[in-house]
Amino acid sequence: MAKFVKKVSGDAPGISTSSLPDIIFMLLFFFMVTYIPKEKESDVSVTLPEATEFVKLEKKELVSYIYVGVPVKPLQKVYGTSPRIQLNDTYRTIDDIYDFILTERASRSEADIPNMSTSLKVDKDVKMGVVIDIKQELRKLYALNISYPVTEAK
Amino acid sequence: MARKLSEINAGSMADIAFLLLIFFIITTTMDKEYVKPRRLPPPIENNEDIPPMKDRNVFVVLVNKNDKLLVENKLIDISELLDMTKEFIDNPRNKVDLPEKMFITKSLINQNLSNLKVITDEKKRLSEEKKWKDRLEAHEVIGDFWESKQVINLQHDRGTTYNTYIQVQDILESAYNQLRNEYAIAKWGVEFNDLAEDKRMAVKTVYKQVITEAEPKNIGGN
Repeated sequence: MAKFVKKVSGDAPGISTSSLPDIIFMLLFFFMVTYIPKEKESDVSVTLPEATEFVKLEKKELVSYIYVGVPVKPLQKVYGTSPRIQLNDTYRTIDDIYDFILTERASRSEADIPNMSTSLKVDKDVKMGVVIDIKQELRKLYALNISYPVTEAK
Repeated sequence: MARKLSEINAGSMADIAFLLLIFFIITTTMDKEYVKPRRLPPPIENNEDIPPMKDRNVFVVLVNKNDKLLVENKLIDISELLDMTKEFIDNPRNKVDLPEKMFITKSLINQNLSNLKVITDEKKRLSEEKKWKDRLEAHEVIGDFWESKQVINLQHDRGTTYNTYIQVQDILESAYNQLRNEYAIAKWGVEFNDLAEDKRMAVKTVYKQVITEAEPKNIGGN
């Protein structure tokens, strides 16, 4: 009787997956390099006004943010409902802007200081009084580069 | 007796890498923030005099605390602002109550550049020098041209809404951009934004964006 010889399997040798971690690491390093920390949740709610004339914000690392708006729901019990200023992450008043800008300047290198700017994220329903005061404070400090964030008008 | 070292199973390295990767994918934001960039004027020193400007050359836009517009002493709806602004800047029919226009020629430029030496005020000399140098560069590209002596003055009340303020600024900027676009298309058949750098600068000099903001007063409501 003929012996049944098991045929050698016709498969090609399997694809080596030993280099898969290397590919993943490369992708990982890419994302680590392009990682920009998400902006902290605002304590004030800001709906930006719409506009048709605008440019992309450059040099985000050199931008200091000033938020003006009504406090977020959970904090309204404590802070009420009139518009407030927030500098980077805590409620402040106009007088704190001076120190805020100086601190921001201190944490940057000498060469970077002229390229710093302040972004005024103001809710669209806020009255100009606060914005005027903020701009006056910035002028006193010669922090003259500012920008008004807007959303694209549809 | 040496034991054969057992290899560490590296099969789970890929899993760890995947996890870290997913973390970064989720948290990386490629937010594009759109802004209107501005440069604030330096704080005023008391002894500075502001050179007087002819009434016809200044376009006064007042926004009161009820977000109503008073432009050149006329109450207007915001929808009329764009056309009024464009007509002001360009003054196509050379009306006498709208800005004067200068005809910029090579000889005028050279004359003014040589006159710079007599200006004693350092700041003024530097700003005039820049203006005439820009005109010289524009002249290289487009030859003789008419330039309007327009200045837009925007004033608002402390009670004006920020949204209206930005909207008005937007419309004023649009006026300049639309005029620049129309000029670029008429001259070269190309949109302003698609022009080469030197042509862009030339068109920007012809229609220079001059929007000044006054120290705000409390403008009455109506």
